[in-house]
Amino acid sequence: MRPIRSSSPVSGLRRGQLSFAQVLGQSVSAVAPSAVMVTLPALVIPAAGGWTLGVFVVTALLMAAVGYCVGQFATRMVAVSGLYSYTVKGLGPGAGIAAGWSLVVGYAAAAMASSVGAANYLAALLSRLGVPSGAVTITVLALVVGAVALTLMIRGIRLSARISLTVEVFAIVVAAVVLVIAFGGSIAGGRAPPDAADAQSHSALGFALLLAITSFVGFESAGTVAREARKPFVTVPRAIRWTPIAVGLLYVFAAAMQSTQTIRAGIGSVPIVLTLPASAGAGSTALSIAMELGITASWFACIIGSTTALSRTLFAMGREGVVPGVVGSTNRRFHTPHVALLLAMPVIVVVPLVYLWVTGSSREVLIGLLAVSAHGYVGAYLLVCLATPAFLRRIGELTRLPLVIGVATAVLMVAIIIWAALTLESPVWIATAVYAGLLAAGFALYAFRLRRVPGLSERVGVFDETTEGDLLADYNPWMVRR
Amino acid sequence: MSPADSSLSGRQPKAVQSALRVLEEVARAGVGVTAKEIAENLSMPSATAYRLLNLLVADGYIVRLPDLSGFSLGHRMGVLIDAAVAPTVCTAAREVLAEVRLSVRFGVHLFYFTNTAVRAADLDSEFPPPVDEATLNRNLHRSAVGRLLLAEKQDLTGLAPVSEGLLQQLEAVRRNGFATQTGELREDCACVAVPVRAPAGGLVAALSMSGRSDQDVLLAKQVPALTECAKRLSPLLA
Repeated sequence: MRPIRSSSPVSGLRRGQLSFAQVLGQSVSAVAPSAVMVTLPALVIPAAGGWTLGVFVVTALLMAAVGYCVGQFATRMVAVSGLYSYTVKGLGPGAGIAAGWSLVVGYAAAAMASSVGAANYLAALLSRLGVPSGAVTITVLALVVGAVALTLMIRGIRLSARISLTVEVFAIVVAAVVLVIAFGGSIAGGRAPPDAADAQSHSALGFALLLAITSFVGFESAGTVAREARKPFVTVPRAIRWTPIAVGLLYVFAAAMQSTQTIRAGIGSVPIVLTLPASAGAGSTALSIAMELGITASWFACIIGSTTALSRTLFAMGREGVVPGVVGSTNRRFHTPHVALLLAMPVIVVVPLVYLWVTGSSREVLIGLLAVSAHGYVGAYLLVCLATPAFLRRIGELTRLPLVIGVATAVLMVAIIIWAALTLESPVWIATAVYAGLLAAGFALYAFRLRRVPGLSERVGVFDETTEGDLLADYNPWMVRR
Repeated sequence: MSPADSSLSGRQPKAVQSALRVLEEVARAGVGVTAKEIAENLSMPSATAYRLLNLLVADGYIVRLPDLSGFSLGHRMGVLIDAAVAPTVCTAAREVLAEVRLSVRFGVHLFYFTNTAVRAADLDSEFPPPVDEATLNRNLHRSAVGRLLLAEKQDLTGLAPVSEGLLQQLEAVRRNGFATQTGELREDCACVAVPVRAPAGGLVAALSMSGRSDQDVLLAKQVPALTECAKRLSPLLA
């Protein structure tokens, strides 16, 4: 039996801050469903044709299965680094480090993409007021957005969670309303869905599935705020189980709306700022503005969601010693991992800006970053699915259902990845190479730290474990405890 | 969702009984018992036992140990244990109380604290306290003794309705080292209470004095004498 400590290895983060709605908000805002609702079906429909709805239903079920696996951990341990610590507990430190760096890549790249997205949509909004949109405007806006998000996150998780939840709800409502108004008319008109894409659908179906999977990523991030949640054993698993289903419903709705008439993605300096179909009529400008506001909000919430998850993962690594210990320190007043946040945020803002200045195309930057991010998430999901039966077996609680779901989900995901890789028209090997390079760098750092920090491999995978004060041993009933 | 989670009908009583048996087994087997052992000891289907254990952990009745495979009783169980214990006061402490009672014409009472409640340990039979123990525990924020308990707590959820006024009163209790109440529990009664602390500093009991509400100034004058007496009681109660 492991000794019971007097204080938690992740003390410093404040307990009991987030309600269920806010934990759910963490997961949902990291997914940024409203931005996906108006952009992704447009990307998936050409690839999947008539199978689009089916693709979203299948991936929702697959992600719900991943959620089930993650839930097995979330009902048993209060994590601060989500899938990272879960994988360590199932497959040991080696695989755990792979999952950890995958998550860091996934969250960081998602936050970077969101920062580009938010800056571009803000620029598009401002251009309506006559502000010239260009690389300079986008740079300034990205810096401002990053600074605002950083301030909110340092000021406390409750504040940032409340704001990102509100913003995301607003964004989803706007996206839904816009879709109904813009595309509802064409359905009522009884126009036949365009089936020109059907001819190529089968060849690209694997890619469509993988694309659809990437539209769910982030739902597991509730696992990174468990320490800060109220009743974490209830709220976190619930958020992780329901987010894929709720988000899946939104996507199916969005895909159904758009399958009659696809949104055209504008190609130019502004990425994926959408042009609504002519059927939207005279109100189309107002609708466009509302949608741009909603999507800006969604990107902003996604910066907060992804960076919150990223900072908690880095914080855990700091506490373990995988990265220097200073990263694991918390702010005394606000109880947030301010060093991790202060380190991460400049990188999140500056890297995509450099990328943008080099390539000159926001669209390319956004797609490139999302591709790298997707690699990280899918890698971590694969590992956590495999870790589930291993973990349950190790603690002697393995039953048939988690074994079957864990293994089957992992096999299915590998199959989809291979299928997608084989049928891919535009290769994403650059993203794969970047992900592999970053992962290798992560392992190199781990190997280096292993020599410097004695006992590091045993410390990897910290979570909010039971401490002396939580036990009912040597209990004195006649005493008031604080 | 598994079928057992959604069925709210005939299988519920069975589930409650099973949960209580699991809880009892964790208590009997001692710190570090594993889920598998519990399922075996109770001859219960393992999936059922694991699900019940996770529910009990989620509600804080039991905790998972750092190795994630062992279990132990958790703090929520403290409430049950607290309700079952009876306060006993040693002769030496009773003598101290008798001495104080001879010196004043007020009711002098000794209350013990559990983690979340007040328990009557030795009440003045000549001048009884304004309300009984159950009423007192429902009105911790209105009573002097209750305010001592609340002032000790960081989190008041479930103990008292939190208001700005109450927080200010509790801050004053912490600053002054005693609590008062005039006409708040019962219109015609006033109380003053001082804490009795264990040598390590933990709050274990309250020494209180009760009188008529028009005597509140006289009661307040008794605080130094009560504090002195609380110091004498401390080693006898801890």
